[in-house]
Amino acid sequence: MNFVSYAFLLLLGVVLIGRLVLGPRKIESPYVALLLVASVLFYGWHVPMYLLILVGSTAVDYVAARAMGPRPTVDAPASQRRTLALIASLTTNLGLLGFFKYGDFGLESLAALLQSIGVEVSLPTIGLALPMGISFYTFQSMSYTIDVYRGRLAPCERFGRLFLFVAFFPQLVAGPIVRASEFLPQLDRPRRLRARVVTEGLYLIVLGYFLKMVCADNLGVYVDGHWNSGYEPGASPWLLVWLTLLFSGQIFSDFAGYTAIARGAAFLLGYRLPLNFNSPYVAGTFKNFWERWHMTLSRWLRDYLYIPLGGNRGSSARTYVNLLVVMVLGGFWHGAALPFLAWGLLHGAALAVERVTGMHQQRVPRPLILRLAWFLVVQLIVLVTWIFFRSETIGDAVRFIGNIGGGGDGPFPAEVFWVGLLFLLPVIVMHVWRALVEGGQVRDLGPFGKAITSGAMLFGIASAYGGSDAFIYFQF
Amino acid sequence: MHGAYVAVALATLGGLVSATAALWAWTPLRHRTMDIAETIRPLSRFAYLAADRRSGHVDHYALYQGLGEIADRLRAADVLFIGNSRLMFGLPQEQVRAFFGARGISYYVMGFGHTEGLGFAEDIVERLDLHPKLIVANADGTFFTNEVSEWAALVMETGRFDALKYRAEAEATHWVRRHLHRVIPHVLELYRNEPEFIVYRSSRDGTWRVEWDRMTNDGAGVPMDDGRVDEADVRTVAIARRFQLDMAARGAQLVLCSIPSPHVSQGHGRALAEQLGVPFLAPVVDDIRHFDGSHLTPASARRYSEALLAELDGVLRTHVPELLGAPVRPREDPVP
Repeated sequence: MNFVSYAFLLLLGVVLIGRLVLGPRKIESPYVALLLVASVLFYGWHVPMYLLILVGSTAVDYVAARAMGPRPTVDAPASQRRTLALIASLTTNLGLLGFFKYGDFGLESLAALLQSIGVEVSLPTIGLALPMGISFYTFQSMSYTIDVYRGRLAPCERFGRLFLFVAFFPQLVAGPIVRASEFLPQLDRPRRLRARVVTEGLYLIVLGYFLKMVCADNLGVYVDGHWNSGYEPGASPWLLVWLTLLFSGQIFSDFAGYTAIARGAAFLLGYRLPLNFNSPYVAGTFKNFWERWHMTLSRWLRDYLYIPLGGNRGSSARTYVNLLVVMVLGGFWHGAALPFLAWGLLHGAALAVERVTGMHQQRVPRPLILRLAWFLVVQLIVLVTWIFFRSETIGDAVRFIGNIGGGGDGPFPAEVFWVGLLFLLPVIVMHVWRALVEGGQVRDLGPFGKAITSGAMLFGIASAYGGSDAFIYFQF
Repeated sequence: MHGAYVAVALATLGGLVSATAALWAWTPLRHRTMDIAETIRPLSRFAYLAADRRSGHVDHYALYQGLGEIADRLRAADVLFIGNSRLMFGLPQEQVRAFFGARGISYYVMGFGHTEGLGFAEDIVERLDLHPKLIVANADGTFFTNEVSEWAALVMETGRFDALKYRAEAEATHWVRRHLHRVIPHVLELYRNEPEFIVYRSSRDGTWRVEWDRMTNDGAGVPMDDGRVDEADVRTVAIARRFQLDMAARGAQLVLCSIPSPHVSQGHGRALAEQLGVPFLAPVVDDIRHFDGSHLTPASARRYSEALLAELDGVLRTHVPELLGAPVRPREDPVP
């Protein structure tokens, strides 16, 4: 089910009524059962068959965690059975992800490789649609078994509780990637639906719909309509720079919008989901960018990949390799395509270079001019990486970048600039406001400010909604 | 206290809406209209949303899955019209209903937008197992192809439940937009001032009802059939002949017609009909006009369809006389 649909609003409304009637403290069993049913309905709305994958992978994780036995201690370290259970869980999750997401890419790459050494083969393709949200829920599921394996979390006693953690419908399809240790304890924590919760939840939902329907969808019209012209010689460099800026606004609005709706809906239903975006375009360093962009993926990669690889505890060279590996895999997580790999590689390289220069240490006092210059470098490179992210192939991205420096005299329609600016402006204002708040120049919006902003955003939704209902991150 | 914040939010919204509505009503902006706000939905409960800007061609879903009574009506049809949007614009509801109602013949108009070719319609005939006695195809040069539009390909991948969901979402969105934009405009649509294509379709006979005042512009003239016979493309003939044989196996005879359009050679349709040995309906009517370079204006469509149906009457008498002998069936759905 899509957030931008009346079906979703109806479902959310029904579950909210259910909360009032069945679960005023939100821990009552009938209300939890209703959440489970709603989550199943939400996920099965488009392809019910894929529920089997969701249930199957969760069942494997449930059994694996239960099979791990008691927590390891100094006297009784982790048993072999414990390790085997973890391997079973990781193999299942990564196997499903690999099969659906990377199967065809792997087969095509293998065929190309064989062809390059003179072996002509015709390999079959899997050709299955990617189950919605599989990249998100497999990562969530793995965090559960890894945390149980590490002894940081007790295994779930009831399957339904674990399934609700994985399938909780506000965050099922496109995150945030919640950890079991964040969600499961909330199941037993009573939380009444107070007025403050309602207003805060509604504010987040309105903000999310505004970002998605007004900013992302309208920016998307111009990005989609003109992006391919960037591959052709003679394209206006100013148009291409502008399109890159519009795309950076579009992808932020699209994904941050989804997350805001997810967090708002979850809040109304009695659950807190972690922040996923914190004005990433004010980041002064690459490290800080990843502390602000898709924060739950960043910390997942940090805690379950970067640190186990050794993090920054080894030699400098090893740290740089770890950064590159993690970011390339982070890019690959987005999709089985070379531009995503390039995107991840560029970010990994940028993080490594930043570490070499020491610019990643934000608390070190530096002259304003240097901080400003590095901020511009960071944001410029982030923009360049978006070109790879948005392009179909690496060749397209390189041509696009080449045309920016090419001095072409192609058209730059005035509407693309002015209307694009109109819908980029809210994103700019959000970021500037956040920078001012963090700098202590202004105070963050209070309830009164949020109320006025909500009214204005509702007006924006009613009078300037865009024409799409698809979220970019649904494809991941 | 939190109730006060909700009141502030609503007051802000109300203020902005009022200010915009006032600007729209009392400034030169009043000359700009939104089609979605002005459209008049047919009162008939058998009329469903076929297409609008937000949802695209919903009728592809409805007909492909035979939603509601559509499947039954299609199966009951003795005369089936197939073609693209030129056919749909060229066969107005009132004329078609009057013609077939007077003869007591069941019919269905199953054309589609998106420059849809034969492939999609043929798939519906097979999957809903239709057995019309006569099929009238608008052979306008692009119709006899096995290709389907991207939109149709998407529709063909979805199931019945998906179609029901899509239609429900489309109807809800349409309803909200119709009512919302009577109060405040959509600022971008008002700025661009582009007409919106809004169509309702009868589930009973498949005819379109286009609710779009700006379409009634006079338009330009369409050249009429000069009786010439062009050379029919070999591949087109092969596709048409296979279709003819497949339909014959279902007990249906094929008739070709050609709704005039600036870029349509009626000589092509005539050549194809000769190759297939089937009747070709292309009456000559003076002063036929199109509004957009492709489709007939309502006034031209009325006059042209009357002439076309008069020619069809002769074909009915010679090819399917048993239909004319059938008792007149009462039509249950009033023309809205």
